[in-house]
Amino acid sequence: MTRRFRTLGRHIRPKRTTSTAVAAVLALGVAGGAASADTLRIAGQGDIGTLDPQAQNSQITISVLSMVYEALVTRNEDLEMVPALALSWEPVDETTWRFELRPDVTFHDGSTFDAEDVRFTIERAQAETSQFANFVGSIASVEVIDDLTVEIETRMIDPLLPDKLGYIMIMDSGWAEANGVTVPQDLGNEENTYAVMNANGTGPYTVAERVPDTRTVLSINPNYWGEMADDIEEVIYLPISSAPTRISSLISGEVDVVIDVPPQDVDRLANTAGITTARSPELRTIFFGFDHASDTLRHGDAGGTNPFQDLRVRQAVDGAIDAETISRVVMRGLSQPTSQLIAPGNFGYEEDADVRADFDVERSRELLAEAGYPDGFSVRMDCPTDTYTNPEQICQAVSAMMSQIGIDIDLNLIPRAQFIPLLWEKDTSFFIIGFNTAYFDAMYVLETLLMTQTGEDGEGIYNYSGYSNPEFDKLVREARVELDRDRREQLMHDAFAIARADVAYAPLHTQTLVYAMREGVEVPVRPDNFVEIRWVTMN
Amino acid sequence: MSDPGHTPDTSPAAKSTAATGPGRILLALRSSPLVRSLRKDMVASAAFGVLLLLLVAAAVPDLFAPYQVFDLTQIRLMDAFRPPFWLEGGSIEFPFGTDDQGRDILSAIIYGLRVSVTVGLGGVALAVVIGVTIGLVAGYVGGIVDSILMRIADVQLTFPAILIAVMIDGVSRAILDNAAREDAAVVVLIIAIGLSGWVEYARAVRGATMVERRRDYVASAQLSRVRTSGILFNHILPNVLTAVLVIGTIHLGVAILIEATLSFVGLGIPPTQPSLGTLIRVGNNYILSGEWWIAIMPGLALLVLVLAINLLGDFLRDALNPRLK
Repeated sequence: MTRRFRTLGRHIRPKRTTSTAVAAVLALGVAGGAASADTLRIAGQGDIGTLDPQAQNSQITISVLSMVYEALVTRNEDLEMVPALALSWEPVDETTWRFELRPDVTFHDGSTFDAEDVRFTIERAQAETSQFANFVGSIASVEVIDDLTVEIETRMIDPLLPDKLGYIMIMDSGWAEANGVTVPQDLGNEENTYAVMNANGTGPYTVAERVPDTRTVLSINPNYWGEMADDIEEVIYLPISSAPTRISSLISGEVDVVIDVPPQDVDRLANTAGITTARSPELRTIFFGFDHASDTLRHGDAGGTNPFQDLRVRQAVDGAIDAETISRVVMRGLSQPTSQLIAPGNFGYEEDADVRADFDVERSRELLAEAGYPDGFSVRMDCPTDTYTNPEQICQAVSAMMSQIGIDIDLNLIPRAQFIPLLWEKDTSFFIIGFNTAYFDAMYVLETLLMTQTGEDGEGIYNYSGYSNPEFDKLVREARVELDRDRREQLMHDAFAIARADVAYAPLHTQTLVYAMREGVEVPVRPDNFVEIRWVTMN
Repeated sequence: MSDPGHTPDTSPAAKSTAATGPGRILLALRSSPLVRSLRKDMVASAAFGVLLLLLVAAAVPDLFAPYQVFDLTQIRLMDAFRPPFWLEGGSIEFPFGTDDQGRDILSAIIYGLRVSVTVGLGGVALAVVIGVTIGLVAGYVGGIVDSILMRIADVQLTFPAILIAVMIDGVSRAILDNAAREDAAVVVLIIAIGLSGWVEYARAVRGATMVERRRDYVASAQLSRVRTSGILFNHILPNVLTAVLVIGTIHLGVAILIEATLSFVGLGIPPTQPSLGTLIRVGNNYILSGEWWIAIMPGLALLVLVLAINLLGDFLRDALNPRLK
């Protein structure tokens, strides 16, 4: 377990641009400990979608919610699994895990955390409206042994169960029942529930104020059980969609941290007095998805057919994307072109296979002609504007590249809040998406993004494209119960090779995360882009 | 033009087109001292020349723009972020440089000009139609109708134009889906600008109408049983149009700025068919990183356009105002 995170440890330490100042401040923060009445203002491009911890598996949402809610396990600075609400865990037999829970933990409303809350939350995460069904998909039952012990029975061997439970944020069963939120909000249908605007977790911060699209104010939980690097009284998350406004706010001192600095502003910020930047390659891959399932194009015109069902069309699209130029111009070198659906640093990443096919417009034109589209076709591309790095510019660039092979793109630039329901309803023909491997293991991508969507166990839960290959599914089913690490890795490599040959998706690049903060604030950049508030110091 | 009001039988041109209202005004303008005073006014004639050039470029951008900016096949990402030709790394191939996608900025400005001018002219035309009609009716009928219409105008005046435009944009968001809204963006903006700008016309026309309706020619028209609409549009309207022309010119500058503002904040024209405001918004992303020309060049174009319109508007106001003679 430990070994596979060792390489990650290197990435996590941010490269400091003005290291002496930060080091001095850091030392002060640790030595001084108590800071005065203080507020940390964090700005990012998009708002969190909900306060319901099982309703939206979207990075900024779970990142902010992880300050309020906690899971059974968490990660340390080397991204190794460490206890959180669970003190320890061990397999009892092949399909049973036993978790000993942390005593004397209370929720924000004062009620005590116990095994019943764990059972309740896991079952809540299995509900139809949950976007976390995959993380608990292997679980058959949760048995409460006593107040502080649960035994979790899985349907099959699941060596990754503790890893997965790191994404299940524990709710108070009593609070959920009293407020009628025993099932997650149905985000796709824009349902509104008590848990959307209110929260009751065990985490270091409580929600003091929530104004959607404007601000989320968190105040420190004085009864927090865990250790904190600092005791910042108030944390405010501010969505500021315009990049120049976000950056100007940092320079003028209106915010303390920006967690998504666009590549074009990195140099400028690094040379600004009083601002430090930190960066890390992100464990996320950006790629394009197609609708494999519909018989006719849902949004576009190809004469009554769906061109994306033809492998040659997908190959044509894949080959016509000039990832190198996008990396150089749009990302200014802060990305790494890739042909893979998982990023380096994840278990299951295969460096030897990470070679992009040649960028070849002529070949792509021929492929389209062979597939019966010599004059191309038109299709809508759905593109969120306030998540990932420079998505709008990437989508525009790819639209121009598609026009070179005759594919006429109707570019649909929309906020993430409108984009995610489109995916969830599979109401998209061609889209850009970024995906990270939740527990740093390729199995997550294989199971949730690429497996045929069965509606069970969260298989293919994020397979918005309708990709389906029985041979691929068989390999994944084999791999996920394989206990031998090397054999499992090989099976996953084989599965990826199939998806790659099918051009299930058209991969683009992995991004480099850049945070910028005012001097005196130290926010470590985690490669999975969680803002881990317990590690943040401020002076 | 000593009297901009009723001049029924002094000019032969006017006589020949006696009943065709606006046509008579245009002819009167041509044979009037207006053109002569324009020639004398260096600033105004320069503004007129620049505006004429910009309007022609906006009308037939294909003739002026070196590249077809909406033709994606002509765009190369490799060409992105080229500076203007006078800076190091720039070339005359892209005189004002290129944007983040490799689009020629000069071409984008010319096509953007078309969108901006279309929205501006459309918005002004709508405001003129609404404002002039309300003004004529209020001024001619008077009484309770006048009171009601002018109170509505007063209420309307308390809303800034931007606010009304934002409101209309919000309504359009609620009833149209994203794709339809993008297609309808120009129309939405025209409606927003039209609905927010009619009050000034209504007030000016009402005032002029109240003066005109007491004149003898109106009385004689009434006695010969000309229909009220006939009196309003054929007889009174031509005599209040100078005021409308002056307000309209100034309003055109304002309308173009409203469009630019709304597009800049992302409520206007989408980046797929950029107006000048949209181009500035896109360029704003690169102001901090040093690629200033992406925002500044369309900004300068906007400045020149609106300045030319305003200078011409000032000139018209002075030239057509008898009290200043």
